[in-house]
Amino acid sequence: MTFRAAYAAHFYFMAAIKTEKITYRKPGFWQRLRTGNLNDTQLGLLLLAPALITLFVVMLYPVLNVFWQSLRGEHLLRPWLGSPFVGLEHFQKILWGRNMVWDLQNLLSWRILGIATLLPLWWFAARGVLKRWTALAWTLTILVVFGFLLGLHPGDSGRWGDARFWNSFNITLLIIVLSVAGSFLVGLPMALLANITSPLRWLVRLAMLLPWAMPRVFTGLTFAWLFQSDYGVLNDLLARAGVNNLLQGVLEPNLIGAQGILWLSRVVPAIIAVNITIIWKTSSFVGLILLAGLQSIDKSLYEAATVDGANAWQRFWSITLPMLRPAIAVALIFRTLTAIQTFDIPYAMTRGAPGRSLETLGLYIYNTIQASNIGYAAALSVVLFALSLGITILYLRWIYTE
Amino acid sequence: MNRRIILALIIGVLASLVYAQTEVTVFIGSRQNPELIGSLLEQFNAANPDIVASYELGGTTSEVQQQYLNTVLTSKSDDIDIFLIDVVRPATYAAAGWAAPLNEYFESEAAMMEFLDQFLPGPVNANLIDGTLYALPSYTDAQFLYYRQDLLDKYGFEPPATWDELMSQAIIIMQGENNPNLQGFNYQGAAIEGANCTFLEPLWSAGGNWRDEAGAITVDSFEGRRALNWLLNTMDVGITKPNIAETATDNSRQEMQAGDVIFMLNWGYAWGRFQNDEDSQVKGLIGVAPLPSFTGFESATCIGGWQWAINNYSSNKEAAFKVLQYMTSEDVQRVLAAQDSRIPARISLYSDPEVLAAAPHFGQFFDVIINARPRPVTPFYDEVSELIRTTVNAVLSRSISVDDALETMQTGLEDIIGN
Repeated sequence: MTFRAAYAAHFYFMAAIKTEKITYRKPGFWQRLRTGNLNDTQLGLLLLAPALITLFVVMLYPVLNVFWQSLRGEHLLRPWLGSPFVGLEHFQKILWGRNMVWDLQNLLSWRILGIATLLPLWWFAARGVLKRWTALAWTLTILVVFGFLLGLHPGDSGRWGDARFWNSFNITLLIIVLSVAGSFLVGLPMALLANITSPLRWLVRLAMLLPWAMPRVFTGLTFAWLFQSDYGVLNDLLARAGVNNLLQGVLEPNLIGAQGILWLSRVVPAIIAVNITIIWKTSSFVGLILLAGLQSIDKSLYEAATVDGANAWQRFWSITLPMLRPAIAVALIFRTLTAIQTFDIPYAMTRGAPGRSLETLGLYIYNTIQASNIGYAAALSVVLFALSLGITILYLRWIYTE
Repeated sequence: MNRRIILALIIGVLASLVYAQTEVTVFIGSRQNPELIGSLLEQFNAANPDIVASYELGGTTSEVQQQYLNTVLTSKSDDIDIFLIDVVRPATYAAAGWAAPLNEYFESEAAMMEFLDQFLPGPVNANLIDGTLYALPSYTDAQFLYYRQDLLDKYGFEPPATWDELMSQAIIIMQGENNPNLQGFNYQGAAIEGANCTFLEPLWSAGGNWRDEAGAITVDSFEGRRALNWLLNTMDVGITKPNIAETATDNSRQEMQAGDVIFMLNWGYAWGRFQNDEDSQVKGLIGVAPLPSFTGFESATCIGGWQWAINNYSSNKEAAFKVLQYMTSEDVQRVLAAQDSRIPARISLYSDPEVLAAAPHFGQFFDVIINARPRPVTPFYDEVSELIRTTVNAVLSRSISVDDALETMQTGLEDIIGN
């Protein structure tokens, strides 16, 4: 009954507004929404709202939650600990070690020296001699350097920080350097090849798309079989080509068995194998972006250069490469960011073995979650996030300044 | 019409309150033969009209099952009343307060010990933490020494009692056979759960352990060095392939099944595959023996298998214990052994004609399984296991020296246990 009454009242009310018989207040948001009287900003916000809410729920909330978790000591297999607030303890453990000792005397002397270095820096910055960004970078550097010197000792454990973290940090860095460089070395020639006008161009483009479209775990599993040292395809090919016998005299005997190189059970070969796989998988992505860049270069530039007598190498060096710069930058950023997060391929190929030599940062975080150490895993994720953010900012500055 | 349905519902609810049936939910993994468990539970329900037991499925591997239970138990849910857990877990469950202590369901301590005497000592020791019982064994498993009976017979050897004997027999057979694909000794060197056993077995059979009675870590010791050096030695003399660090459990099984291995350490499941698989090259050629040891010490092997425990947050613990008793009863374990090749945890079943008719090798398994020891019993098992298996894998891939490995494990374990 009440509903019907309300519905009828609403009807009369709406009719009244339309005929402007009663004007007792300024129409509110909902009313204007109903009558279609929103201004552009309001309408824009309204239309964006679903996207913004989704973005918050699926992106911002998890990210903030990770930050919050990283400050807490939650460990699922130690529920008697609860999830206490531990502040920056996890970060201290990651970067400096659990048993850090403060040496007061050292602390005082270095602090004075540290402040003595920072003061003139800030003075210059305030006078406008130094750019603000530069001053900030220097301040951070000095703080880090003096932080180490400020009487922070490795303590009882005799090592700086979480050794496992630094191990994964190093291998991740190595993978970034090797695989990014490698994917450009392979991707650029691929792009140039695909850019040549020839009836077989579709074949090159197909070959470029294939690795790009393949799921990474699948790639890892496939390559793990190719690199398998007893019955893998690669060692079989090497043996047939006679390379195996050749290598047996050259390589350390520890790295090579009767069937060939022990790809996945020795550290150096495993690093090479994993990088080859990553390069195979990612160079086509680089190739595709560079190809798009190549096609946007004006052909008349080449014609003019040819008229001026430039040879192919000179044309490549003075036209293609400089004109490709934006495309290279984009590919570089994306490749570096995916390389920092390397997880799938080492996971599928060796799960971080031999030992922990291929345990990348991503894999370390995964393993920490597997061990139910939620708080510490969150802290490691924050460190990874900071690294990605730092590298992105550096790249962006490099692109926008030049 | 609507009113009638509502009335019927109300009557139904009231009726069910009057004839209260306790519901018990049993959690198992999809590898643990849900159909068989389901039919066993139905038999239980028929015999106990006041209890309705049903099962819930989750996870294909020990790790995934664990993750699921982690989620359920950290939220203190009572959705599950009984769960099947891996033999390495009871200590964690006890410390976390997830598994209900079972002592109170027995009349006395003595009655409990008498009841437990019907089971193999290995699984019981894993479930008995500081005198409190947290789980009962469902079925068990262990690592066995599988050997090629035909090759040993050909060269006139008995199954080796010591590691040195194993090495010399393997060398002689490999030389005699002159087959480049033949491996003398195969074990699990990949950084998987089984690699813990790869290290613990020689460690135990050298008279050592990962920690002493007082709880101090004793990995960095003469015995620890002896165990790792023995493993490296097998590669140096060539009875073990140089890429053993890539070998996981089923790789070992496949290689032996293809006829390429003389001696192998592996779990109980391999036997059935050797005898029954179509592609098996070694049907009827495989023998099983206790693991060798170092001269003067006792043989020891790693225990596996699964345990029934009661959720501490369950609201029907009494009924749950009845189901637990049933699932660990002789009748049920006989069915599991005969129909699902699960190695029984009850001693009497090793001489049971029905079991032996279905799985004749269980008679041979008994000598091995009676010496099986639990892997580190600690609430921090996951971390301990991860450390041991990656370090053993690093040694076998020759990326760190034995001394460094022992030091890494020693300080790492002290860190974990000291937490």
